[in-house]
Amino acid sequence: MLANIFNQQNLRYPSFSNKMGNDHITWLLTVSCLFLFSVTLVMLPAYYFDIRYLNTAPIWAKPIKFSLSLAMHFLTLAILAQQLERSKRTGLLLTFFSYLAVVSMLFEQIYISIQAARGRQSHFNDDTDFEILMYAFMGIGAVNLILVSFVLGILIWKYGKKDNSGLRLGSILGLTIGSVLTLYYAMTMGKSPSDSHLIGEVVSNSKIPVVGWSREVGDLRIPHFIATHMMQILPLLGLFLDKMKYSPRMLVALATVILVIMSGVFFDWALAGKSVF
Amino acid sequence: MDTVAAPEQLFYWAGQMASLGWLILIFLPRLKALFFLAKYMLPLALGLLYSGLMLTAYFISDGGYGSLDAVRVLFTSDQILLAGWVHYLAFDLFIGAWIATQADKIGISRLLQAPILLATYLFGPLGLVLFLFIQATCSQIEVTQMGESHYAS
Repeated sequence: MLANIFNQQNLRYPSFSNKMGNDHITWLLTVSCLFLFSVTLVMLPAYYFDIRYLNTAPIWAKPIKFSLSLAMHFLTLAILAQQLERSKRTGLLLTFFSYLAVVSMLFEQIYISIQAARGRQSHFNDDTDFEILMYAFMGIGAVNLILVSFVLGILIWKYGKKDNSGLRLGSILGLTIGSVLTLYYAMTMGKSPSDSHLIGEVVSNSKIPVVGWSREVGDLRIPHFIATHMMQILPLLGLFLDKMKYSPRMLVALATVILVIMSGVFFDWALAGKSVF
Repeated sequence: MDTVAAPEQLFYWAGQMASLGWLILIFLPRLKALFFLAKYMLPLALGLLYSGLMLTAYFISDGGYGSLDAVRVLFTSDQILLAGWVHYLAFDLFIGAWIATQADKIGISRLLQAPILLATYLFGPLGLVLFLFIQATCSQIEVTQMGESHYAS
């Protein structure tokens, strides 16, 4: 298998568009995204049939949210990696961190789904020795998933085409700052004294539809969400402004500052047990 | 109903055969002979075992395929229960081998094939759906540009 991995570097792989490279890393990241959409698809009937609840949410809501956001993560990586030349994209560094991220993704997604099916918590679960160990492994897996985006951001900064575009700046800032903030917020959440992403006394359990954020108490998932999805928002904004030819670099920088402050303020509110909405 | 070998014994052998096939598909390198064993020889052996069990027992059973109750009656016979299980093993393995072949053709990494094949091993149709969705999405693109000699066919 190891020999396989190295042989594959020179093969021409399929790709969905001529803007995407036909190298093994682009294809690995693309198929990871497809795999996660597929996982979402097979969980939808279970979401419909299963009447069980866990912590006031339908039992399959969490694995579905994870598979969708991980799918978006891998699609983002595949697309943004195109700013690198093929030799850098398939270089040892990105190859290593991509495979590490895929292994971690598989572990996280499978464990979260199985725990949901068993009606057990995956995060914040210290009921059994096994679940404590798995929760620790999930922490490591989460770091690996963030490492690859951070490394990609640095690689684009150092080796990407220095074309002064909004896309380039948005990619670099989104990937690096988004990764660092995600890691910081997620680690704080992991060590949350309430052993939950919620901080405060839940009474009415009023929530925002779809994402399920609390309208009542502090919810650490909100700053986490903003930080993580900076990785999509900033490059997209850059791309859009490039097309509009409307001072893309300045506006991307401004958007970065706004998003960082916003996530910081919401993080502060969440820790103080204050609801955003 | 007396059989040549005890159903427990046959169950064990069938399970061993299927597991060997899945071991090849999921973990071992894609060597022509190994792959042939998993894709054709093992499903063939399981199919023959199924035929032996089913032809002996089905036509003297009171059960049938028409309703859930009829199926339940069918499975009160240990021999048919075993045949049903061997049916799963044979078909799942063959489908698994088909998935592996197709996945090689579109260049899906063995790392990502593993969970799809594992899902097919444990929950048959679920794994098939996982793969079909990916393949259907990929059918939009050329699949012949892969280095074919590199992969088992």
